[in-house]
Amino acid sequence: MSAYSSLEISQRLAVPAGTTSPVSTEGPYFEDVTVGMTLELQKPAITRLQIAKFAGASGDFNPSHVDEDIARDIGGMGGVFAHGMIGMGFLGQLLTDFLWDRPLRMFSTRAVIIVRPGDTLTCRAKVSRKWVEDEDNLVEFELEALNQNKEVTHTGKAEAVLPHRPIAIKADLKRPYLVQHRVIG
Amino acid sequence: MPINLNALGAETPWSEVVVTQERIDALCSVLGDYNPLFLDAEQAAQSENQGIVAPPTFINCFRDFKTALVLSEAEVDLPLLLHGEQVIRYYKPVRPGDRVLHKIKVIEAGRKKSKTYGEVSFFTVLIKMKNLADERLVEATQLFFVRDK
Repeated sequence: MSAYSSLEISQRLAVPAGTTSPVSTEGPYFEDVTVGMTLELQKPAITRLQIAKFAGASGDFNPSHVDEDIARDIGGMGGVFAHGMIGMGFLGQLLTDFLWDRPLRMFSTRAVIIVRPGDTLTCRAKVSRKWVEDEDNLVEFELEALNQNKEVTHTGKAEAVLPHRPIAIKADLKRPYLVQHRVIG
Repeated sequence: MPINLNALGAETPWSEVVVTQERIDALCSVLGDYNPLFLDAEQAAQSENQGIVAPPTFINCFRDFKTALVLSEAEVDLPLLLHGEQVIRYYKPVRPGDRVLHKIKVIEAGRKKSKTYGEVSFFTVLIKMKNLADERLVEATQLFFVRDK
């Protein structure tokens, strides 16, 4: 472990006051998730600083995101706008807050309209399908992000692999003939 | 200006990068995502992941030579570029300390009608990430549109 990694989170990151982190000990089980179930995450308004930080974190310094003059005069988009991947990152957070340590198999998004500094995104997920494929129990989520005007900025889908709890014969089902059968059989 | 459609098939060389906690922290910080599974070694060790893993969109932080590919091969005028779709497929978790290889290839390029912007160029890149044992970690496709003006 590097010296940096051994530092506490509070020493490494300026976590805003009042930020709550997801607290969980294990992710959901396959049988806990029902088709139609919904999740929601409200994010604070996107700032120009956040866009600049994303450019630094991702290496994507397209002037459409960080240079107001070029974005307005050459890009013709009326000014800078957020990387589409920021909205995707928010949707990813919505998923991992819920799934915890259950793995994603696929995650896709489509940028529908641009997101500007000051826009506030609400991320939503809805369980649209459950199925078993080979050894994997799969759950599909339909995703969308909406801005403060209720306009859809991103749509998407995700697939996660969830385990089923280990099987066990429930106590009230342990009838004498079953026990006998097991003994005799 | 339309892009150079001869960029189809162009690819970057494999690039080796070490995944660091600093890079994971940078992404978590900008997203405001302080999930301990990405940040706290002690808590992450108790999860099924058995240690810190990178957030699901971390592959977006790997783009060595991508600018060269987009600018020199596809001849894209960056201010006219718009991101369309992205699909990420996960095979194995990416962890801090991992040495990973990644490359980017243009797998689709052409012209199409956009409802909003009229006739536009488009191209799709495939980003592959694997470990030094040649095991796939994460792969993503990204579709971009480039307006003519």
